[in-house]
Amino acid sequence: MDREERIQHRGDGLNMIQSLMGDLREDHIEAEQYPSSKRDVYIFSIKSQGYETPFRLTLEVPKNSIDIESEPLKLHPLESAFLREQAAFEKCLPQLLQQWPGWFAAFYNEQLIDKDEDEYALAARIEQTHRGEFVLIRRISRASPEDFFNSPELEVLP
Amino acid sequence: MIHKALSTTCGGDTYSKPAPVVSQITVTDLGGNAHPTTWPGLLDTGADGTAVPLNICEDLGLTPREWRTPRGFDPKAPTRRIPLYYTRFKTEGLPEVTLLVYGVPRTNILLGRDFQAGLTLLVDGESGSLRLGQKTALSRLLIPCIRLQ
Repeated sequence: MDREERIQHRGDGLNMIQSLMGDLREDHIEAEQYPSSKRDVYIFSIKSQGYETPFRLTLEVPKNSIDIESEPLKLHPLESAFLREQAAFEKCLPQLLQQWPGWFAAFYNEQLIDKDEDEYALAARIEQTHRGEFVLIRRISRASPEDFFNSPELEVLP
Repeated sequence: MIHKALSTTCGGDTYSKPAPVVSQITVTDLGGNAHPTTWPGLLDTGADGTAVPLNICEDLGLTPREWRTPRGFDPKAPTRRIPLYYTRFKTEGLPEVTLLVYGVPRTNILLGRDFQAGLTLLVDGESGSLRLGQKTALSRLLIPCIRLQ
């Protein structure tokens, strides 16, 4: 199979997954693609239970067929909590923006539990009341925080 | 103010050209509990944020408060979600600072522009020295440079 055929088959496979699994968003692609390999691995986020759950999808493209394996990605328990609290934050964001734009909000068990204009004062309180438990602390803003690093160890997947 | 020579080592990293390294940084949690070891930090004016060895956060019993996917130098490189922790940095000669830092496997601290905010950095390649401090302490040093121009 030449490269163009393989790309076509991969596109057909992704379209098929989309039609089967509904709301599918490509989260990031694992670096497991090798020119000589027939297997491509994709990490997708699929909305289920109201928040995104990452799934690992492996596409194998041997001659004239496409094999697809999927499995939920095993996350650190705190990262699962993060996805849940992030979804709760985004759901509440329109109301938060009306009342406290630019403040910092703390979300726990999908509820707003505290807020402050001072990020670090809020973080210090949360550390006293919820040490060891995941609480999302995030600025009340539509802009997603984004950082740039010129460091290889922050780029390479584990 | 910190005034020291540039360094060719920082934790487990070595550099062919001397680099601006801040030595003996004490990392604490927000309650003031300190990690038993002090750490060197590499100043990076190209980094938005600060990254610390993940084992510091684990040793202090910190819980991440956010996850982000930072952008790297190569926009095509695969990226991943990284946990962030609230910590405080104490270094002799500099004001104490509270930061939300990335926890990653590494052997030194990467000091980004969030750490550098509020400080003036003077890297003198001719003499191989670093001066880092608040602007009032460094203004006398900056004026002679402007006059020469």
